[in-house]
Amino acid sequence: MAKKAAPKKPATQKKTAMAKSATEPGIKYVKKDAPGRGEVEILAETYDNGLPSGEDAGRWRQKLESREDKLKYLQNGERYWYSDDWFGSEKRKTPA
Amino acid sequence: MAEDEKKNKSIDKATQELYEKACADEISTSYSRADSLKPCPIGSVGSCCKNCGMGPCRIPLPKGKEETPEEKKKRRGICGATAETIAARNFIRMIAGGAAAHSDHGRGVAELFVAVAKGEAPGYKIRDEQKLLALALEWGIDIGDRSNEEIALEIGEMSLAEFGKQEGEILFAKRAPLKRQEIWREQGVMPRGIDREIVEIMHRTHIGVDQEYQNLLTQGVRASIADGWGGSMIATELQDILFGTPSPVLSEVNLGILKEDEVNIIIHGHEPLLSEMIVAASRDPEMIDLAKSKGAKGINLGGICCTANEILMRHGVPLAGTFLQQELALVTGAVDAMVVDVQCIMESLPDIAQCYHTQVITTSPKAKIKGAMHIEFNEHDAVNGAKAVVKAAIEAFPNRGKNVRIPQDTHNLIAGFSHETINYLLGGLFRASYRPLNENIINGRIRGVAGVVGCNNARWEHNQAHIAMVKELIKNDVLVIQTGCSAMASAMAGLMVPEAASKYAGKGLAEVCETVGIPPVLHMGSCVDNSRILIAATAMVKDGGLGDDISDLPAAGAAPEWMSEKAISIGQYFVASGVYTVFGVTWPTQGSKEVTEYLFKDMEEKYGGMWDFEPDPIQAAHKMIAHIDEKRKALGIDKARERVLYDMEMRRELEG
Repeated sequence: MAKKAAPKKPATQKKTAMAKSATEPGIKYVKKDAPGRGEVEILAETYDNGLPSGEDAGRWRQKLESREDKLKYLQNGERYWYSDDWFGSEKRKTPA
Repeated sequence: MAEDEKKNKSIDKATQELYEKACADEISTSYSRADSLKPCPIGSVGSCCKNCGMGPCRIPLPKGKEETPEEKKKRRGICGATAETIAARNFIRMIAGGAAAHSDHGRGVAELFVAVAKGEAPGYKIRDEQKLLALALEWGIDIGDRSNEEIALEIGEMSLAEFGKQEGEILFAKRAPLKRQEIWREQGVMPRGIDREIVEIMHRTHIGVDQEYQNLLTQGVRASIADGWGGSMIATELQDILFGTPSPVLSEVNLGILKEDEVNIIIHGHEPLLSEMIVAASRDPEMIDLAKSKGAKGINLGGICCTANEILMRHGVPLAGTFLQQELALVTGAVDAMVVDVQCIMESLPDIAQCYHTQVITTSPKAKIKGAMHIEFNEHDAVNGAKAVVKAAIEAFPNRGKNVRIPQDTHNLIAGFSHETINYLLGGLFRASYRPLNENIINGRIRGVAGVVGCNNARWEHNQAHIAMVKELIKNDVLVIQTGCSAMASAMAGLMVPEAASKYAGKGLAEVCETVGIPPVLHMGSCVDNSRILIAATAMVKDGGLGDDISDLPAAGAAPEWMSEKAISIGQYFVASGVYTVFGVTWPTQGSKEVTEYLFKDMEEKYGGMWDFEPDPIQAAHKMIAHIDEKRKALGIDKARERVLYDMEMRRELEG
């Protein structure tokens, strides 16, 4: 019978991954108090330094390409106005 | 110049610096004119009627004492109109003026929209198909396999019909919460058509027509709804379809955005139809080469007033300044052309421009100014019109003198918070939702929401009231949404960047802002874009947990430095939509206690929202917070409740 491989220790694996990440430029960690665990090291803010440039940086509507996607988004994201299945809280008391 | 004198004019350093230069250059500005021209004490409280040739009839309240019943009886115009009738007439004529301005803007956009759909407006195209489809769904227009242009033509024609409609209800009223629609129907203020309600005000306020102040004010409400849920909303929606729905964009604000070595073009006014093309023309390599041939390094665009907000929201074009900074922009000596369209444009601009080298260019057939160059906007040839404007600026650049002073003050801001973008930011692409906002209002991290909007007023220290009020609100965990010059003021104070949350906001609001990645003060656009605030408020209602109507929301509105008739129309449609709305500086019905009482108290019984007047911005903010707290109490969310995780035994007990 083949000897079963010993499972990797998650703690060690985590520590290794963390140590690797900590050396990456731009990745920051901060120490915070956690309830019952004392001081722990957690990932700090992950945003890029600097300022976003160009008027396209914040555009999100272009993610929806086809007309079908756009209609689906309206029926989901703007469901209270454009979906037959969602009525919003107000219609519970006053049926349409 | 004494420091105090400068500081009395503005809290903004760039403005102080240029006011000092204006005085040194012996330039008359709105600041100096406000010093020498005091407001008429009778007209400013609504006690002067000049609606016929027998007047003007001035019927002021007695000074320094209570009016006796006998004195009150005598306080009438020649036609017999009482102080109440006169104050109400004046008030609703302001609404008519404001609603007409916004709505005529909307009509202009609708006309361009139809031209684009017909392929008769080269250079323009439909940029936001999704919003086009949304309107088609809303108005029952067949989508199928039809082209965007076919759908747009139908939407454009239906939009134009809204202005001249005689019967029924305006189409966008159906967007309002159901309860709100019922209130409008019950109170008889559901608008039939946009123009009709404005015309009816002019008829009713003619000598010898409507002489019951409550009835006059009811028509004011109806016309204001036709503005906010009609003309303004048409302007916003169709502009979004044509030019794109705003998304978050980084930009800069204040007069320091002007560049010493580039051709500076300021776009000023309210309608973005031509300015969209000027943005494109200023990026045209042919135009940039022409600028370079004249010794400039490039072409720099900046904006003033709401045209600025429009092109900021969609393109990130920097904001040069607010209404009260338009003259000072010319005083820098660095503006090569100021291109104006309509509304809030000072007639003094060409006179000031003569002292420097600036070319003031009018573009609307509705708004010409003596002494300005006129290059008329024509939607059928907008590209060439825009190029002609940019060329005029480039030609002026070599004439720039040595008397140039560009202040160093600028601030970053993030703009572009349309309703659609807020919905997306809060919920994501696959489950866009206002739920996180509502949840955080319910759990008390966010105390409520306040819309702070409106103008600058030369009778008040520039930007002081806006900034004091907004800082007080966010300090107390109230999320602030803004439009117009008020939004620019907050941007100048550094309140429209995400990092402002940790610096100025209360702990709860800061937590939410940091989690979502938004500033505590959101720029929602121009003054017609106050319609975005109405939609955001409606979205909060529909998402649930905060009542069934806008009047149930822990929300308030304010215009602390208002001056235009448009602000009165905006305030009235917010009141009519159920929002407690506080104005600062001055109040135009103080000449009649009954009319003021009706606006400040009786309107709440009818519409759930009411007016208030408080010139002190901190006191006004406290009144707004008190109102928000009242609404929280009514919703039962005024006290923090301990969260209990139910185990099976507790659940069984509950079911039993």
